[in-house]
Order: sequence, then C-alpha cells, then structure tokens
Amino acid sequence: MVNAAGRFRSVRASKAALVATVVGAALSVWSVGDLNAGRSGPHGIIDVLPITFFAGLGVVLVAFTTTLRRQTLPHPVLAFQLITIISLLYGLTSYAEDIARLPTTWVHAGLIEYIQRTGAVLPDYDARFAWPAFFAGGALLNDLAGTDDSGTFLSWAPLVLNLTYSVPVWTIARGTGASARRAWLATCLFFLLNWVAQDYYSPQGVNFLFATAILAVLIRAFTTKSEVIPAWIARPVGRVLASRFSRRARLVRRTNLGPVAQSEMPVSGRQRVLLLSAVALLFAASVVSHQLTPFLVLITVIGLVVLDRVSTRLLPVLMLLGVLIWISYAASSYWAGQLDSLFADVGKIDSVVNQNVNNRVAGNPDHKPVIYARLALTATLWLTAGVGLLRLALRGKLDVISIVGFVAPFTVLVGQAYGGEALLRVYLFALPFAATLAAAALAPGDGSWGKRTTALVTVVLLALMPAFFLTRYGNEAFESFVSDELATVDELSRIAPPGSSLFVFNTNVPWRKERIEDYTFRPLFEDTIPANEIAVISDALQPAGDVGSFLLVTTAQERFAEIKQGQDRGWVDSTITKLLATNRYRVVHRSSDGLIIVPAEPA
Amino acid sequence: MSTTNSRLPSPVNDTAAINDERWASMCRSSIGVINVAALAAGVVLILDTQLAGRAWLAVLVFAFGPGTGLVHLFRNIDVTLQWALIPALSLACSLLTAQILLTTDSLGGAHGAIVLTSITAIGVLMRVIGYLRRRFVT
Repeated sequence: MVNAAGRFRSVRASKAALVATVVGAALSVWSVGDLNAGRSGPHGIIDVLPITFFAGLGVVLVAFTTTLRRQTLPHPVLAFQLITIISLLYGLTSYAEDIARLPTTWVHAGLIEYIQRTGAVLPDYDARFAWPAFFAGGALLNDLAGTDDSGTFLSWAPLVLNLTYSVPVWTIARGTGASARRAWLATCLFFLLNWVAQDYYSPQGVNFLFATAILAVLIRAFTTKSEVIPAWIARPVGRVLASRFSRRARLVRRTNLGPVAQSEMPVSGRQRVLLLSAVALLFAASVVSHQLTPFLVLITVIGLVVLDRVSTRLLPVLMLLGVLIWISYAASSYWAGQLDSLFADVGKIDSVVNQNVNNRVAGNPDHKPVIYARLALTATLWLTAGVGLLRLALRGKLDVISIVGFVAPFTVLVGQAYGGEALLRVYLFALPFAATLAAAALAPGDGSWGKRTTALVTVVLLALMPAFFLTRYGNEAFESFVSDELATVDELSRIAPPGSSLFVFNTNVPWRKERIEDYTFRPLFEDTIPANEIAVISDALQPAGDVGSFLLVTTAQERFAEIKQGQDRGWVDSTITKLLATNRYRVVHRSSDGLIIVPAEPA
Repeated sequence: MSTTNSRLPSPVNDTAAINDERWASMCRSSIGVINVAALAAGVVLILDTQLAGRAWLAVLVFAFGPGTGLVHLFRNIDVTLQWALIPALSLACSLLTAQILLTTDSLGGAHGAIVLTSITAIGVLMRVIGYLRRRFVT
C-alpha cells in the first residue's frame, strides 16, 4: 500500500515542478516579446537572444531533470514539461519572426500554389513534382482552410511537426529496451540535438514522422524472441571460426546482444493485421511523397529482419516492390534522361563527405564557430552513443535494434543523389537511436537516479541549450526574413509580366511562392562571387522582347554574401551603386529591405 | 502502457502501476476528445462555414482527425503507440487522399473534407456501437 504522506509528497513535488515549468516558460516567452531576428549576427539568433530567455529555459530543463529523478515517474508532468521544452526550442522563431524562415519553405509554397490553382503538376519543372503527395496535401490543406496562402502553415510547421515526433521517438526508445526514465531523457536529448532543421514545411519533415511511426510499430509490436545471433549466420561462422566461436559466444552471452524483454508488447493476431495495415498505409504515403525516406526505412527494416529482430519477413520485399512500382510508373518522367546525374555519387563516399563537410566550412571567419559547433556536436553525439552502446552491452542490456537503427541510415551515403544534403538526413534518421544510446551513456541504470547521475544529466542538458541555438539557428541572419522582403517579392510578381526572367544574387529570398510557371528564376552568384560581378549582372539583365529582366535584391541576400560568401560589409550597396552608375539600369521599387532593378531601355 | 520495473519493491510498483494506469486513462480520454473535436471540425469544413480560426480547424482535421478514427480499431494496444500513430496516420491519410484526388483531377476542399471526416467518424461510430452493445446486448 502507498502511504498518504508519500502520496502528499508526490503531489507537492509535481505541483512544484509544474510551477517551475510555467514560470520558466513565461520568463522565456516574455523575454523574446520584442526579439528582432533580423539583427542576428554571424552566430545566428544566439547573438540577439537575451540571457533571460536562456534563464527561463534553463529553469524548465532543471525542473525536467528533477522530475525524472523521482522514484515514481509522474508521466503527465513529464509530458507537460517536454511539450514546453519543444515549444521553446522550436516555437521561438515562429513566435518571434515576421514570416516563415528558410527559402526552401517558400519554394514549397510555390509548388503547392501551382497544384491548388491548376489541380495538376508540372512534371518537367521540378523533381519534387514526381513525388507530389506532400504538395497535393498542402493544396488540400489550403482548400480546407479556405485560403490560397500557406504562410501560417509555413511558420508553425516546425513546432507542430516536432510535437508530433515526440511520441514515436519515446516509443522507439522504449522499444530498444530503455526504461521509461531513460526514454524520457532520450526524447529530450533528441530535441536538444536536432539541429539539422529538416522539420520545416517539407516532404522530408512529414516523412520523418512516417519513418519514426513505422519503426515504432515494428519494434514495439513485431519483435521476436530470437536467438542472440540468427542460426543461419551463427552456424557457418561457427564452422569457419570453430576455435574462436566459443569465446565469441561467451562474450555475446555476457553482453546479451539479443532481445530485451521490456521491449515486447503482446498483440493478438487481429491487431497484428491491423498494425501491419497501418505500416503499409504509412509506407505508401512515404513512397508517393519523398524520394529518400522509403529507402532509409527499407534499409533499417532489412537490417532488423536479417538480424531476426522483427518477425515480418515479407515486409521488406513488399516495401521494395512499392518503391519500384512508384519509381517505374509515376516518377519515370523524373529519372528518365537523368540517370548519369542520379548515379554520379554512387560509391563516392569521399566526394559525398567532402560536399557535406568541407564545403560547409567556408565564408566569414566570424561564422565559422557555427559550422565547427555543428561538426563537434555531431561527432560528440556519435561518440557518446558509442559509449552508451558499450555501457549497455557490459550490463547485458544492449538490443541489436539500437545498433541497426543507428548504423543503417549511414548506408545511403554509398548510393545516393542528394549531394550535400545527405549527411543531414543520415544524422536525422539515426538521431532517435543515437539519442537513446547517448541517454544510456549518461544514465545506464533503470532505477531512480543518484545525485551524480542527476547532476551529470542536468549539466549536459544545460550545456546543450546554447549549443542547440548556435547550431540550429546559426544561419538566422540570412535564413530569416522580414515582411518587407516578402512585400518586395509580391511587388515583383505584380509588375513582372509572364515570361520574365527574375534574377537574384543568391537564393536567400522568400520567392518562387506563386505563378512559378510564368517566370524563369535565376540566382547569379549562388556559389561564389566573381571579381567581374558587374559584367555578369549586365550579361544577365538584358531586355528580351515583350518581357523583361528583373533583379531582386533583399537584405537576407546581402547578409548571405557577407557571411557565407566572404564579401566585405556594404558589398551589395557598392555593387548596386556601380550598376546604376552605368546608366543602363533603373530602380523600379525601393523599400527598407528590398530593391527591384530593371534595364533602363524600354522592354 | 507498461512502465513498471519488476525488480523494484512492491509499494513502488503499486504507485507506479496506479500512476501508469492513470496516465494511460488520460491518454485514452484525450484521444476520444480529439476525435470528437476533429469530427465536429470536419463537419464545419464540409458545410464550408467561414470562421476566423478555420485554418486551425483544417489542421485539426488534417493532422489528427483520421488518426484518432483509425486507432480506435486497435484500441487494445499500448496507448503511447496509439498516440505515436495518430498524427502519422492522419497525415498519411490526408496525403494519400490528396494524391488520389490529384490523380483523378478532383482535388478540392469539399471532396477532401468528406473523405477525411468520414475516416474520422470511424472512431465515434465504433464508440457508439460499443456503447449500444454494452447497453442492450450484454
């Protein structure tokens, strides 16, 4: 029986935790009431975030670890605290910025606008139209909402998506054998370490939810009580390594590289059928909406089936069939004629790593700490996950599911056509498992924490707090926009006749958000800026018959040129001045954050 | 949902078990409430009623409606797994509906609202049927 005094203490502790969480969150929200992300410096939003914001979030994190320390976990309190933490981490920019951040999200708005307006796709316009379900879904959502503007959804998508990730990530952690306590910690670590920002209004943002939900179902409801190493692997290996095998078997027995009883959940035959139907539905939605996610899921599922940890052996075959059918039927217009570029990176791991790492370490020296912090955070996480793996193995608590989930995403680096984006996706898809293993490195036991463990966890969470804002929002100076930039883009859409060529210095603009078929969109200096930039601009900005050429310059482009392309402060102003001094161009629109220039000759 | 640790002394496990059952009950209730709210929002969208917060009603139907309807079919499984599936199934249904409507040249809010609301209604219907069976059959 539980005595009344104990229950009273428990209720009092829960109330104190809730009050601390609310007070901390209120302090953070109050302190960013007049935040101007547009003033972000080369280190991103951390340059303008007040110390009171961190103080408030710190209080919430300390309250979370204090709650996690309790012998009996109050799950509703922990859920409330986790939702608060996610809201502060991912709702900050939605709340404090004028309009949605990230240029790509506005491109997605343009693809959605086209489908909503025409009810069709443009097959040869963009590869993303070969996997159109997300954009069709966006058009449907706009229709349901009675609007043709995705702006609100673009702004709040990161927060909503991250809230939806929380339960699958928790379930995956539990499925790998983690106690409820460690699963809560792993989920919190997941959100403090998700700096790759793939969770915007995008196919990959939604598909990550599909992937985590599929894996959550498989490893919670379809795990097998298999042998430590499947017999079909163990027997031949045993014959070849007869003398060494007994030693290996002892090690394996000691480290228990097999199923952990806690992860198993009893399901009836009818439930198995229904859950498999749910998995099929999720995978079908993934196949028609994103190029890469189905392969990442497939590789992980193959790993789990081959190592005999998931009982649905036919599932990978059916998944592969689904992917092949879609690629052969609906996406053929995309890959036909592009096979060379699609397979250009296959097997070239050094080239992929170079694109992902070395090419990112460039630009203004003041911005380099952001890039180094990202690399360091990634390396530290993977290293800590390795430590967690070892600690679990030595305690006989390691389930191979964790290893498969952590390692499988890396295999896409061998054969992919994603260039510089690939490592970000790998990081994201391995993150639920890496965070679970990292949680095991910090607190490997299942019982309540001692003072040392609590102190260690608290210090790590508090250290990750500024690291998160530095790494995730480190590009805020050029990835966030103000409403005046959007107004300038709208003005350009109003004055540019269909068929016009629209030029920008770089693509850090909230453009391509409507009438995408009417214009040609061209960045002039996407990678580097040549010494003869005026000549390059002059060559591009030629009057062309009835239509024209327009140069759109906005504040975010200027910051990108300074921070990422290493130009001196004021480079854009001096370039514009030199351009106008040629008397061949004139300004047709000027505002505080935007400028539109056209050739002076009548079009 | 099972979060108890069999190696702990029994008073702790008693508290944990009570705690877990309360938490599971809360989660189940919240699924029911969201299901009914999403169904009501779906009806508002089908009737094409103009409201100030219509965008958020659309999000409720799109991201939570079909999931809360479908998880009722496997209501006996771990409640956290049900919650993990709700937004994923909802978005999967919404995207597949949109894809089918796009392929059949009939993409539009009216068709979409009817399909998504119908799937959402599965949860409420099954609850009503379950109640009637308990009330009159057993």
